[in-house]
Amino acid sequence: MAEIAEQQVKVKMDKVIFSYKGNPASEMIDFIFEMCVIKLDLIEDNLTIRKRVIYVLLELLQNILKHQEVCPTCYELPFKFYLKKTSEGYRILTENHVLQKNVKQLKKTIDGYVAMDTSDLNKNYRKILSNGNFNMNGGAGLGLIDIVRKTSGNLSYEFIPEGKESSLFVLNVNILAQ
Amino acid sequence: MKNFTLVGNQKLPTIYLNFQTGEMEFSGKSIPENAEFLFQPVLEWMDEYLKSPSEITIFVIKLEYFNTSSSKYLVEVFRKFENLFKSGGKVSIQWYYEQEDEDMQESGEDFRDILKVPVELIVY
Repeated sequence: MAEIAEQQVKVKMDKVIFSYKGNPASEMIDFIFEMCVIKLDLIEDNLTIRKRVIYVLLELLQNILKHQEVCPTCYELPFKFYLKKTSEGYRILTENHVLQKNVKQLKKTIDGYVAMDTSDLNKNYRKILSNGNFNMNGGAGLGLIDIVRKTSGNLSYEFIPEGKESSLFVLNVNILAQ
Repeated sequence: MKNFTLVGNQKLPTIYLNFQTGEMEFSGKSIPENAEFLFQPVLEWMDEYLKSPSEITIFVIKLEYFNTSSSKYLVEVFRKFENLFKSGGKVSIQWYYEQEDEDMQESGEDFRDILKVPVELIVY
């Protein structure tokens, strides 16, 4: 009971820096990123943390742009986002639709990276960085591993089914202030 | 051959490539969604430059931040100089990072680890 109360107090103390619900159009993603950077410049004095939040934010937002999938039958808005300042650092939440057929692989990829220690993460990151391959949509294949590396695996996710063809991918990423 | 100049903006870096002096610099932000569009002309310029390179090539990277697509193309750019270095050419890649920017430092270490040309990490 005390733990739940403590958690509720913590959540109440969270301060929303920026939030958005709607379409993840390229111009909007740029706007969200620029606004978050401006606000972070104002509130975060620690350069290490500020830059880390910016890097993670950038990869999360550009991943959404590259991998957004249309779900015409879904009621939920195609994209939700917030950046919050928490008692422990920063939290970024993204929600977007993913096709059901891609869920298994996405889970496997994230879980695989989260299970790696720092040394293996670095080794794998450098392997992908140097392999010269780009995926179909021009991505480097480094976004997720970079996010896991920069947050020390401090993230959680869930897939909420939306019928047979689609799921809502909810990703919560924490950047701890050291 | 002409020098290559690109004036940066909110998403693209300022790029200056001088074929006569061998001085090259990337600075600012490099976060384009389509990194190929940015880097393909740079890679083509490099191919021309390497046909008759300057005695010394110094590549300065002073980026505020960049996305992972850019990092992969930066590897391709730097790889162009590996053969020049192996055949005795004087090549130096200078990777600048702010004192407290641990992630930019780590990125420099990533490049140093995978490239076969010297990458010098410099705090500014």
